[in-house]
Amino acid sequence: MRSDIATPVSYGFSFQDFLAPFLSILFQALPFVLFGCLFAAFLETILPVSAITRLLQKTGKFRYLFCAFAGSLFPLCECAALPIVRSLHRNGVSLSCCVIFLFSSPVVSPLCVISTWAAFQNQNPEATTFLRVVCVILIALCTGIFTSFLKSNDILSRLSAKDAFAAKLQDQFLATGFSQRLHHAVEEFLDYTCYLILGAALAAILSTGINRQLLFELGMYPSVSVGIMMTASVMLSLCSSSDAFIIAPILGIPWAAKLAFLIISPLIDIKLLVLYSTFFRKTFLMKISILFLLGTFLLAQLILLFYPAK
Amino acid sequence: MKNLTAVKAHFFLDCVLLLSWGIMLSTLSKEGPLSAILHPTYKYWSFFCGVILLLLAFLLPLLNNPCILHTSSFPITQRVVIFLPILLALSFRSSEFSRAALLNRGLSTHPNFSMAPHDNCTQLYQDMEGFWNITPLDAWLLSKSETDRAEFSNASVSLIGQIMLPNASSQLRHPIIFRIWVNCCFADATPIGISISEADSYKLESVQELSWVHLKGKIHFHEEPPHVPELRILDLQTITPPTQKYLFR
Repeated sequence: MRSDIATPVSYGFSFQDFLAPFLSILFQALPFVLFGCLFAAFLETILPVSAITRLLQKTGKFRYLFCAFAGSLFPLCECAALPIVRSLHRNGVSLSCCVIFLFSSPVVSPLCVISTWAAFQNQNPEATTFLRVVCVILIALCTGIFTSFLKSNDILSRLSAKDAFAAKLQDQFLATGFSQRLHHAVEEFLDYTCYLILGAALAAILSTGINRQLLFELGMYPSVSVGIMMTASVMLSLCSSSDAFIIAPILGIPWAAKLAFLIISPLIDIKLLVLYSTFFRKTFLMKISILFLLGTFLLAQLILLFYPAK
Repeated sequence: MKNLTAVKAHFFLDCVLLLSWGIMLSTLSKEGPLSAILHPTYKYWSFFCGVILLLLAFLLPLLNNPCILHTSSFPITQRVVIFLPILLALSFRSSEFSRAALLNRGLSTHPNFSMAPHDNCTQLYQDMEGFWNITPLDAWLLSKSETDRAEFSNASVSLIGQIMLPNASSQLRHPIIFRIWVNCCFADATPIGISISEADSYKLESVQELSWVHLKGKIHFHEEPPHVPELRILDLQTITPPTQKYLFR
Protein backbone atom coordinates (compact mmCIF):
# COMPACT_ATOMS: atom_id res chain seq x y z
CA MET A 1 0.00 0.00 0.00
CA ARG A 2 2.80 2.42 0.82
CA SER A 3 4.52 4.12 -2.03
CA ASP A 4 8.24 4.70 -2.46
CA ILE A 5 7.79 8.48 -2.48
CA ALA A 6 9.63 10.01 0.48
CA THR A 7 7.30 11.82 2.86
CA PRO A 8 8.05 15.54 2.58
CA VAL A 9 8.32 17.83 5.60
CA SER A 10 5.53 19.91 4.08
CA TYR A 11 3.34 19.81 1.00
CA GLY A 12 3.06 23.59 1.25
CA PHE A 13 0.01 25.69 2.10
CA SER A 14 -1.74 28.88 1.10
CA PHE A 15 -2.87 31.95 3.03
CA GLN A 16 -6.45 30.64 2.92
CA ASP A 17 -5.28 27.37 4.55
CA PHE A 18 -3.76 29.42 7.35
CA LEU A 19 -6.76 31.71 7.82
CA ALA A 20 -9.36 29.11 8.83
CA PRO A 21 -7.37 27.53 11.70
CA PHE A 22 -6.05 30.94 12.77
CA LEU A 23 -9.52 32.47 13.13
CA SER A 24 -10.92 29.28 14.63
CA ILE A 25 -8.22 29.10 17.34
CA LEU A 26 -8.63 32.80 18.08
CA PHE A 27 -12.43 32.86 18.18
CA GLN A 28 -12.60 29.77 20.37
CA ALA A 29 -9.80 30.71 22.77
CA LEU A 30 -10.85 34.33 23.26
CA PRO A 31 -13.90 33.59 25.48
CA PHE A 32 -11.65 31.63 27.85
CA VAL A 33 -9.17 34.49 28.07
CA LEU A 34 -11.99 36.97 28.74
CA PHE A 35 -13.62 34.78 31.37
CA GLY A 36 -10.21 34.25 32.98
CA CYS A 37 -9.64 38.02 33.20
CA LEU A 38 -13.16 38.71 34.51
CA PHE A 39 -12.93 35.85 37.00
CA ALA A 40 -9.60 37.24 38.22
CA ALA A 41 -11.18 40.69 38.67
CA PHE A 42 -14.10 39.13 40.53
CA LEU A 43 -11.71 37.12 42.73
CA GLU A 44 -9.72 40.25 43.56
CA THR A 45 -12.90 42.09 44.52
CA ILE A 46 -14.46 39.47 46.76
CA LEU A 47 -11.25 38.25 48.38
CA PRO A 48 -9.24 40.76 50.41
CA VAL A 49 -5.57 40.98 49.44
CA SER A 50 -4.43 39.17 52.56
CA ALA A 51 -7.01 36.37 52.46
CA ILE A 52 -5.28 34.23 49.84
CA THR A 53 -1.85 34.67 51.41
CA ARG A 54 -3.30 33.75 54.82
CA LEU A 55 -4.92 30.67 53.32
CA LEU A 56 -1.58 29.65 51.84
CA GLN A 57 0.19 30.26 55.17
CA LYS A 58 -2.32 27.96 56.87
CA THR A 59 -1.40 25.13 54.53
CA GLY A 60 2.21 25.52 55.75
CA LYS A 61 4.63 23.04 54.25
CA PHE A 62 1.90 21.64 52.03
CA ARG A 63 1.28 24.95 50.27
CA TYR A 64 2.99 23.77 47.09
CA LEU A 65 0.79 20.65 46.96
CA PHE A 66 -2.25 22.81 47.71
CA CYS A 67 -1.36 25.06 44.73
CA ALA A 68 -0.81 22.03 42.51
CA PHE A 69 -4.30 20.69 43.15
CA ALA A 70 -6.15 24.03 43.49
CA GLY A 71 -6.86 23.95 39.75
CA SER A 72 -9.05 20.87 40.19
CA LEU A 73 -11.73 23.17 41.64
CA PHE A 74 -12.07 25.12 38.39
CA PRO A 75 -12.60 23.91 34.81
CA LEU A 76 -9.63 25.99 33.62
CA CYS A 77 -7.60 25.67 30.47
CA GLU A 78 -4.10 27.06 29.80
CA CYS A 79 -5.40 30.30 28.26
CA ALA A 80 -7.61 31.17 31.25
CA ALA A 81 -5.07 30.25 33.93
CA LEU A 82 -2.60 33.06 33.23
CA PRO A 83 -4.90 36.03 34.07
CA ILE A 84 -5.79 34.30 37.35
CA VAL A 85 -2.14 33.69 38.16
CA ARG A 86 -1.31 37.32 37.43
CA SER A 87 -4.09 38.35 39.78
CA LEU A 88 -2.87 35.93 42.49
CA HIS A 89 0.61 37.40 42.19
CA ARG A 90 -0.76 40.92 42.55
CA ASN A 91 -2.52 39.67 45.68
CA GLY A 92 0.78 38.72 47.24
CA VAL A 93 0.97 35.01 46.40
CA SER A 94 4.61 33.96 46.01
CA LEU A 95 5.91 33.41 42.49
CA SER A 96 6.77 29.77 43.18
CA CYS A 97 3.15 29.08 44.19
CA CYS A 98 1.92 31.00 41.13
CA VAL A 99 4.16 28.94 38.84
CA ILE A 100 2.95 25.65 40.33
CA PHE A 101 -0.69 26.69 39.97
CA LEU A 102 -0.16 27.94 36.40
CA PHE A 103 1.40 24.74 35.09
CA SER A 104 -0.63 22.19 37.00
CA SER A 105 -4.12 23.74 36.88
CA PRO A 106 -4.86 22.86 33.21
CA VAL A 107 -4.10 19.19 33.74
CA VAL A 108 -5.85 18.69 37.09
CA SER A 109 -8.98 20.44 35.84
CA PRO A 110 -11.98 18.10 35.55
CA LEU A 111 -12.24 18.84 31.79
CA CYS A 112 -8.75 17.55 31.07
CA VAL A 113 -9.02 14.50 33.36
CA ILE A 114 -12.32 13.36 31.83
CA SER A 115 -11.21 13.97 28.22
CA THR A 116 -7.95 12.04 28.69
CA TRP A 117 -9.78 9.14 30.29
CA ALA A 118 -12.45 9.11 27.55
CA ALA A 119 -9.97 9.34 24.68
CA PHE A 120 -7.78 6.48 25.92
CA GLN A 121 -10.56 3.92 26.31
CA ASN A 122 -9.09 0.47 25.48
CA GLN A 123 -5.59 1.92 25.90
CA ASN A 124 -5.05 1.86 29.64
CA PRO A 125 -7.26 4.89 30.41
CA GLU A 126 -6.74 4.89 34.19
CA ALA A 127 -2.95 4.61 33.99
CA THR A 128 -2.73 7.21 31.19
CA THR A 129 -4.83 9.75 33.08
CA PHE A 130 -3.11 9.07 36.40
CA LEU A 131 0.42 9.24 34.98
CA ARG A 132 -0.37 12.38 32.97
CA VAL A 133 -1.61 14.20 36.06
CA VAL A 134 1.19 12.91 38.31
CA CYS A 135 3.99 13.69 35.84
CA VAL A 136 2.73 17.23 35.13
CA ILE A 137 2.35 17.92 38.85
CA LEU A 138 5.86 16.58 39.50
CA ILE A 139 7.32 18.84 36.81
CA ALA A 140 5.26 21.82 38.03
CA LEU A 141 6.47 21.25 41.61
CA CYS A 142 10.09 21.05 40.44
CA THR A 143 9.61 24.27 38.46
CA GLY A 144 8.06 25.92 41.53
CA ILE A 145 10.97 24.89 43.72
CA PHE A 146 13.43 26.07 41.06
CA THR A 147 11.57 29.41 40.91
CA SER A 148 11.83 29.86 44.68
CA PHE A 149 15.62 30.16 44.33
CA LEU A 150 15.36 33.02 41.82
CA LYS A 151 14.77 36.71 42.36
CA SER A 152 11.51 38.12 41.04
CA ASN A 153 13.50 40.42 38.74
CA ASP A 154 14.86 37.33 36.99
CA ILE A 155 11.41 35.82 36.58
CA LEU A 156 8.93 38.55 35.77
CA SER A 157 8.82 40.48 32.54
CA ARG A 158 9.34 44.22 32.88
CA LEU A 159 5.71 44.78 32.01
CA SER A 160 4.33 42.50 34.75
CA ALA A 161 6.75 43.91 37.34
CA LYS A 162 5.47 47.37 36.41
CA ASP A 163 1.93 46.01 36.52
CA ALA A 164 2.39 44.64 40.06
CA PHE A 165 3.90 47.94 41.17
CA ALA A 166 1.02 49.88 39.59
CA ALA A 167 -1.53 47.62 41.28
CA LYS A 168 0.15 48.23 44.64
CA LEU A 169 0.04 52.01 44.10
CA GLN A 170 -3.55 51.76 43.02
CA ASP A 171 -4.46 49.76 46.12
CA GLN A 172 -2.87 52.42 48.28
CA PHE A 173 -4.00 55.61 46.62
CA LEU A 174 -6.94 54.96 44.35
CA ALA A 175 -10.37 53.46 44.64
CA THR A 176 -10.22 49.68 44.42
CA GLY A 177 -13.85 48.94 43.72
CA PHE A 178 -15.18 46.53 41.14
CA SER A 179 -15.29 49.20 38.42
CA GLN A 180 -11.53 49.82 38.74
CA ARG A 181 -10.90 46.08 38.75
CA LEU A 182 -13.11 45.72 35.70
CA HIS A 183 -11.16 48.37 33.85
CA HIS A 184 -7.95 46.62 34.74
CA ALA A 185 -9.43 43.28 33.61
CA VAL A 186 -10.23 44.83 30.22
CA GLU A 187 -6.70 46.22 29.93
CA GLU A 188 -5.35 42.79 30.73
CA PHE A 189 -7.71 41.11 28.28
CA LEU A 190 -6.54 43.36 25.45
CA ASP A 191 -2.95 42.72 26.45
CA TYR A 192 -3.44 38.93 26.29
CA THR A 193 -5.47 39.16 23.09
CA CYS A 194 -2.51 40.74 21.35
CA TYR A 195 -0.24 37.85 22.33
CA LEU A 196 -2.96 35.29 21.69
CA ILE A 197 -3.21 36.60 18.12
CA LEU A 198 0.52 36.09 17.59
CA GLY A 199 0.41 32.66 19.24
CA ALA A 200 -2.64 31.57 17.23
CA ALA A 201 -0.94 32.69 14.01
CA LEU A 202 2.16 30.61 14.80
CA ALA A 203 0.05 27.62 15.86
CA ALA A 204 -2.02 27.87 12.65
CA ILE A 205 1.10 27.99 10.47
CA LEU A 206 2.67 24.98 12.17
CA SER A 207 -0.52 22.90 12.37
CA THR A 208 -1.25 23.47 8.68
CA GLY A 209 2.20 23.76 7.18
CA ILE A 210 3.96 20.74 8.66
CA ASN A 211 3.25 17.25 7.42
CA ARG A 212 1.76 15.48 10.47
CA GLN A 213 2.09 12.14 8.74
CA LEU A 214 5.87 12.54 8.80
CA LEU A 215 5.86 13.42 12.51
CA PHE A 216 3.65 10.48 13.39
CA GLU A 217 5.63 8.17 11.10
CA LEU A 218 8.87 9.12 12.89
CA GLY A 219 7.06 8.74 16.21
CA MET A 220 6.72 5.02 15.57
CA TYR A 221 10.44 4.36 16.04
CA PRO A 222 10.79 3.56 19.78
CA SER A 223 14.24 5.15 20.12
CA VAL A 224 13.11 8.59 18.95
CA SER A 225 9.35 8.35 19.48
CA VAL A 226 9.33 10.28 22.77
CA GLY A 227 11.32 13.22 21.37
CA ILE A 228 9.30 13.34 18.16
CA MET A 229 5.96 13.26 19.97
CA MET A 230 7.10 16.05 22.29
CA THR A 231 8.12 18.14 19.27
CA ALA A 232 4.75 17.44 17.64
CA SER A 233 2.93 18.54 20.78
CA VAL A 234 4.88 21.80 21.07
CA MET A 235 4.32 22.60 17.39
CA LEU A 236 0.64 21.72 17.16
CA SER A 237 -0.33 23.85 20.21
CA LEU A 238 -3.44 21.85 21.02
CA CYS A 239 -5.72 22.59 23.98
CA SER A 240 -5.13 20.25 26.94
CA SER A 241 -8.80 19.32 26.99
CA SER A 242 -8.71 17.96 23.43
CA ASP A 243 -5.14 16.82 22.74
CA ALA A 244 -5.82 13.29 24.02
CA PHE A 245 -8.44 12.78 21.30
CA ILE A 246 -5.88 13.62 18.64
CA ILE A 247 -3.05 11.40 19.80
CA ALA A 248 -4.96 8.41 21.21
CA PRO A 249 -6.25 6.92 17.94
CA ILE A 250 -2.93 6.94 16.07
CA LEU A 251 -1.71 3.40 15.69
CA GLY A 252 1.90 2.30 16.10
CA ILE A 253 3.17 5.04 18.43
CA PRO A 254 4.45 3.64 21.76
CA TRP A 255 2.21 4.41 24.70
CA ALA A 256 5.04 6.19 26.54
CA ALA A 257 5.53 8.52 23.56
CA LYS A 258 1.81 9.33 23.55
CA LEU A 259 2.09 10.03 27.25
CA ALA A 260 5.05 12.37 26.60
CA PHE A 261 2.82 14.22 24.09
CA LEU A 262 0.13 14.57 26.77
CA ILE A 263 2.55 15.64 29.52
CA ILE A 264 4.29 18.41 27.57
CA SER A 265 1.07 19.71 25.96
CA PRO A 266 -0.34 21.66 28.98
CA LEU A 267 3.14 22.82 30.01
CA ILE A 268 4.51 24.48 26.92
CA ASP A 269 3.74 25.03 23.25
CA ILE A 270 4.23 27.76 20.66
CA LYS A 271 1.00 29.58 21.52
CA LEU A 272 1.64 29.41 25.27
CA LEU A 273 5.24 30.59 24.93
CA VAL A 274 4.01 33.78 23.28
CA LEU A 275 1.23 34.19 25.84
CA TYR A 276 3.50 33.55 28.84
CA SER A 277 6.00 36.13 27.60
CA THR A 278 3.51 38.76 28.85
CA PHE A 279 4.23 37.62 32.41
CA PHE A 280 7.65 35.98 32.43
CA ARG A 281 11.06 37.10 31.27
CA LYS A 282 12.27 35.41 28.10
CA THR A 283 15.35 33.99 29.85
CA PHE A 284 13.18 32.48 32.57
CA LEU A 285 10.81 31.05 29.94
CA MET A 286 13.77 29.49 28.19
CA LYS A 287 15.03 27.94 31.44
CA ILE A 288 11.69 26.43 32.41
CA SER A 289 11.08 25.23 28.83
CA ILE A 290 14.33 23.25 29.07
CA LEU A 291 13.20 21.96 32.46
CA PHE A 292 9.84 20.88 31.00
CA LEU A 293 11.42 19.19 27.99
CA LEU A 294 14.06 17.41 30.08
CA GLY A 295 11.58 16.41 32.78
CA THR A 296 9.04 15.06 30.29
CA PHE A 297 11.73 13.25 28.31
CA LEU A 298 13.19 11.56 31.39
CA LEU A 299 9.81 10.57 32.82
CA ALA A 300 8.67 9.20 29.45
CA GLN A 301 11.91 7.23 29.02
CA LEU A 302 11.35 5.79 32.48
CA ILE A 303 7.83 4.73 31.49
CA LEU A 304 9.18 3.36 28.19
CA LEU A 305 11.54 1.13 30.22
CA PHE A 306 8.61 -0.43 32.05
CA TYR A 307 6.16 -0.53 29.13
CA PRO A 308 8.31 -0.95 25.99
CA ALA A 309 5.82 -3.02 24.01
CA LYS A 310 2.74 -0.84 24.37
CA MET B 1 -1.92 67.19 31.21
CA LYS B 2 -0.48 65.71 28.07
CA ASN B 3 -0.40 62.30 29.77
CA LEU B 4 -4.03 62.48 30.76
CA THR B 5 -5.05 63.30 27.19
CA ALA B 6 -3.05 60.34 25.93
CA VAL B 7 -4.66 58.08 28.54
CA LYS B 8 -8.11 59.29 27.55
CA ALA B 9 -7.32 58.65 23.89
CA HIS B 10 -6.11 55.14 24.74
CA PHE B 11 -9.22 54.54 26.80
CA PHE B 12 -11.40 55.65 23.90
CA LEU B 13 -9.46 53.39 21.54
CA ASP B 14 -9.90 50.43 23.92
CA CYS B 15 -13.66 50.98 23.98
CA VAL B 16 -13.69 51.09 20.16
CA LEU B 17 -11.72 47.84 20.09
CA LEU B 18 -14.11 46.19 22.54
CA LEU B 19 -17.05 47.40 20.47
CA SER B 20 -15.56 46.13 17.19
CA TRP B 21 -14.65 42.74 18.65
CA GLY B 22 -18.04 42.55 20.39
CA ILE B 23 -19.95 43.20 17.16
CA MET B 24 -17.75 40.80 15.22
CA LEU B 25 -17.93 37.92 17.70
CA SER B 26 -21.66 38.23 18.33
CA THR B 27 -22.58 38.40 14.63
CA LEU B 28 -19.99 36.30 12.79
CA SER B 29 -20.10 33.43 15.29
CA LYS B 30 -23.84 33.00 14.69
CA GLU B 31 -23.90 32.54 10.91
CA GLY B 32 -21.75 32.84 7.82
CA PRO B 33 -18.51 31.22 6.67
CA LEU B 34 -16.73 31.92 9.93
CA SER B 35 -19.49 30.34 11.99
CA ALA B 36 -19.11 27.16 9.91
CA ILE B 37 -15.57 26.59 11.19
CA LEU B 38 -16.44 27.06 14.85
CA HIS B 39 -17.27 24.04 16.98
CA PRO B 40 -21.06 23.96 17.62
CA THR B 41 -20.47 23.93 21.39
CA TYR B 42 -17.85 26.65 21.48
CA LYS B 43 -19.56 29.02 19.04
CA TYR B 44 -22.04 29.89 21.80
CA TRP B 45 -19.09 30.78 24.03
CA SER B 46 -17.78 33.06 21.28
CA PHE B 47 -21.24 34.61 20.93
CA PHE B 48 -21.52 35.29 24.67
CA CYS B 49 -17.96 36.62 24.69
CA GLY B 50 -19.07 39.07 21.97
CA VAL B 51 -22.11 40.13 23.99
CA ILE B 52 -19.98 40.68 27.12
CA LEU B 53 -17.47 42.75 25.13
CA LEU B 54 -20.32 44.87 23.77
CA LEU B 55 -21.62 45.40 27.30
CA LEU B 56 -18.12 46.31 28.52
CA ALA B 57 -17.67 48.77 25.64
CA PHE B 58 -20.74 50.68 26.84
CA LEU B 59 -20.35 50.08 30.58
CA LEU B 60 -16.71 51.08 31.06
CA PRO B 61 -17.05 54.77 30.11
CA LEU B 62 -20.06 55.01 32.44
CA LEU B 63 -18.44 53.24 35.37
CA ASN B 64 -15.12 54.96 35.83
CA ASN B 65 -12.47 57.27 34.50
CA PRO B 66 -9.46 55.72 32.82
CA CYS B 67 -6.73 54.59 35.18
CA ILE B 68 -3.48 56.34 34.30
CA LEU B 69 -1.35 53.65 35.97
CA HIS B 70 -2.40 50.79 33.72
CA THR B 71 -3.36 52.38 30.44
CA SER B 72 -0.03 54.05 29.91
CA SER B 73 1.82 50.70 29.75
CA PHE B 74 -0.08 49.43 26.73
CA PRO B 75 1.43 50.64 23.43
CA ILE B 76 -0.47 51.60 20.30
CA THR B 77 1.19 48.86 18.18
CA GLN B 78 -0.54 46.24 20.29
CA ARG B 79 -3.88 47.83 19.57
CA VAL B 80 -3.11 47.67 15.84
CA VAL B 81 -2.32 43.95 16.17
CA ILE B 82 -5.66 43.42 17.93
CA PHE B 83 -7.47 45.20 15.12
CA LEU B 84 -5.96 43.08 12.29
CA PRO B 85 -7.98 39.86 12.87
CA ILE B 86 -11.18 41.90 12.58
CA LEU B 87 -10.24 42.76 8.98
CA LEU B 88 -9.22 39.15 8.30
CA ALA B 89 -12.47 37.82 9.75
CA LEU B 90 -14.53 40.19 7.64
CA SER B 91 -12.70 39.12 4.48
CA PHE B 92 -12.99 35.41 5.30
CA ARG B 93 -15.04 33.67 2.62
CA SER B 94 -14.04 30.04 2.16
CA SER B 95 -12.96 27.55 4.79
CA GLU B 96 -11.95 24.75 2.45
CA PHE B 97 -8.37 23.50 2.62
CA SER B 98 -6.16 23.13 -0.42
CA ARG B 99 -4.83 19.76 -1.50
CA ALA B 100 -1.43 20.51 0.06
CA ALA B 101 -2.94 21.47 3.43
CA LEU B 102 -5.09 18.33 3.43
CA LEU B 103 -2.03 16.17 2.84
CA ASN B 104 -0.18 18.04 5.58
CA ARG B 105 -3.07 17.30 7.90
CA GLY B 106 -2.74 13.59 7.35
CA LEU B 107 -5.11 12.51 4.58
CA SER B 108 -3.93 9.09 3.54
CA THR B 109 -5.15 5.68 2.52
CA HIS B 110 -2.55 4.12 4.75
CA PRO B 111 -4.38 2.74 7.78
CA ASN B 112 -1.67 3.42 10.33
CA PHE B 113 -1.87 7.15 9.80
CA SER B 114 -5.59 7.53 9.46
CA MET B 115 -6.94 8.87 12.67
CA ALA B 116 -10.29 7.47 13.68
CA PRO B 117 -11.63 8.64 17.03
CA HIS B 118 -12.90 6.21 19.64
CA ASP B 119 -16.45 7.43 19.45
CA ASN B 120 -19.47 5.42 18.57
CA CYS B 121 -21.01 5.71 15.13
CA THR B 122 -23.70 8.27 14.65
CA GLN B 123 -27.13 6.63 14.42
CA LEU B 124 -27.01 4.96 11.02
CA TYR B 125 -30.19 4.73 9.00
CA GLN B 126 -31.29 3.32 5.66
CA ASP B 127 -32.95 5.43 3.00
CA MET B 128 -36.00 4.35 0.93
CA GLU B 129 -33.75 2.55 -1.56
CA GLY B 130 -32.03 0.56 1.17
CA PHE B 131 -28.74 2.51 1.20
CA TRP B 132 -27.11 3.11 4.58
CA ASN B 133 -26.31 6.79 5.08
CA ILE B 134 -22.78 6.89 6.47
CA THR B 135 -19.81 9.24 6.73
CA PRO B 136 -16.16 8.24 6.14
CA LEU B 137 -15.78 8.41 9.92
CA ASP B 138 -18.58 5.85 10.37
CA ALA B 139 -16.85 3.53 7.89
CA TRP B 140 -13.64 3.67 9.94
CA LEU B 141 -15.54 3.02 13.15
CA LEU B 142 -17.41 0.08 11.57
CA SER B 143 -14.08 -1.44 10.54
CA LYS B 144 -13.02 -1.64 14.19
CA SER B 145 -15.74 -4.10 15.26
CA GLU B 146 -15.89 -7.67 13.98
CA THR B 147 -19.69 -7.76 14.30
CA ASP B 148 -20.09 -4.51 12.36
CA ARG B 149 -17.70 -5.69 9.65
CA ALA B 150 -19.72 -8.88 9.24
CA GLU B 151 -23.00 -6.96 9.18
CA PHE B 152 -21.92 -4.20 6.81
CA SER B 153 -19.56 -6.05 4.50
CA ASN B 154 -20.82 -5.56 0.94
CA ALA B 155 -23.67 -3.36 2.22
CA SER B 156 -25.05 -0.59 0.01
CA VAL B 157 -24.00 2.77 1.40
CA SER B 158 -24.61 6.39 0.51
CA LEU B 159 -22.24 9.14 1.56
CA ILE B 160 -21.40 12.77 0.90
CA GLY B 161 -17.83 14.02 0.81
CA GLN B 162 -15.03 15.59 -1.17
CA ILE B 163 -12.93 13.73 -3.69
CA MET B 164 -9.16 13.71 -3.73
CA LEU B 165 -7.49 12.14 -6.73
CA PRO B 166 -4.08 10.45 -6.60
CA ASN B 167 -1.07 12.14 -8.17
CA ALA B 168 2.65 11.60 -8.39
CA SER B 169 3.64 14.04 -5.64
CA SER B 170 1.78 12.37 -2.80
CA GLN B 171 1.56 8.92 -1.27
CA LEU B 172 -2.03 8.53 -2.43
CA ARG B 173 -2.46 5.54 -4.71
CA HIS B 174 -6.26 5.53 -4.91
CA PRO B 175 -8.93 8.20 -5.10
CA ILE B 176 -10.39 9.04 -1.71
CA ILE B 177 -13.72 10.38 -0.58
CA PHE B 178 -13.20 12.31 2.62
CA ARG B 179 -14.73 14.61 5.22
CA ILE B 180 -12.93 16.82 7.71
CA TRP B 181 -13.34 15.82 11.34
CA VAL B 182 -12.92 18.48 14.02
CA ASN B 183 -12.51 17.57 17.66
CA CYS B 184 -12.10 20.94 19.38
CA CYS B 185 -11.02 23.63 16.91
CA PHE B 186 -9.57 23.87 13.41
CA ALA B 187 -6.05 23.38 14.76
CA ASP B 188 -6.95 19.71 15.08
CA ALA B 189 -9.03 19.44 11.86
CA THR B 190 -8.25 16.05 10.35
CA PRO B 191 -9.41 14.72 7.00
CA ILE B 192 -10.78 11.19 7.28
CA GLY B 193 -11.23 9.34 4.03
CA ILE B 194 -12.17 6.02 2.48
CA SER B 195 -10.40 4.60 -0.54
CA ILE B 196 -12.34 4.10 -3.70
CA SER B 197 -11.59 0.81 -5.38
CA GLU B 198 -8.81 1.03 -7.96
CA ALA B 199 -11.05 -0.61 -10.55
CA ASP B 200 -13.49 2.31 -10.22
CA SER B 201 -10.88 5.04 -10.72
CA TYR B 202 -12.01 5.65 -14.30
CA LYS B 203 -15.50 6.63 -13.05
CA LEU B 204 -13.91 9.69 -11.44
CA GLU B 205 -12.30 11.03 -14.59
CA SER B 206 -14.93 13.73 -15.03
CA VAL B 207 -14.86 14.70 -11.35
CA GLN B 208 -12.75 17.70 -10.38
CA GLU B 209 -10.27 17.53 -7.54
CA LEU B 210 -11.82 18.45 -4.16
CA SER B 211 -15.34 18.73 -5.57
CA TRP B 212 -18.25 17.63 -3.39
CA VAL B 213 -19.99 14.43 -4.46
CA HIS B 214 -22.86 12.22 -3.41
CA LEU B 215 -21.61 8.68 -3.79
CA LYS B 216 -23.63 5.48 -3.68
CA GLY B 217 -21.71 2.24 -3.54
CA LYS B 218 -20.84 -1.00 -1.82
CA ILE B 219 -18.53 -1.03 1.19
CA HIS B 220 -16.17 -3.85 2.04
CA PHE B 221 -13.37 -4.30 4.54
CA HIS B 222 -9.93 -5.75 3.89
CA GLU B 223 -9.53 -9.16 5.48
CA GLU B 224 -6.17 -8.51 7.08
CA PRO B 225 -5.96 -6.08 10.06
CA PRO B 226 -6.61 -3.19 10.42
CA HIS B 227 -9.50 -4.05 8.05
CA VAL B 228 -9.35 -0.89 5.94
CA PRO B 229 -12.74 0.00 4.42
CA GLU B 230 -13.01 0.41 0.63
CA LEU B 231 -15.80 1.50 -1.68
CA ARG B 232 -17.07 0.28 -5.05
CA ILE B 233 -18.99 2.98 -6.90
CA LEU B 234 -22.58 2.33 -7.99
CA ASP B 235 -23.58 5.92 -8.63
CA LEU B 236 -21.79 9.24 -8.34
CA GLN B 237 -23.16 12.78 -8.58
CA THR B 238 -21.39 16.10 -8.16
CA ILE B 239 -23.25 18.29 -5.66
CA THR B 240 -23.01 21.77 -4.16
CA PRO B 241 -21.17 21.88 -0.81
CA PRO B 242 -23.49 21.01 2.11
CA THR B 243 -24.27 23.60 4.77
CA GLN B 244 -22.51 21.49 7.41
CA LYS B 245 -19.19 20.76 5.71
CA TYR B 246 -17.36 19.51 8.77
CA LEU B 247 -17.98 16.66 11.17
CA PHE B 248 -17.70 18.00 14.70
CA ARG B 249 -17.26 15.77 17.68
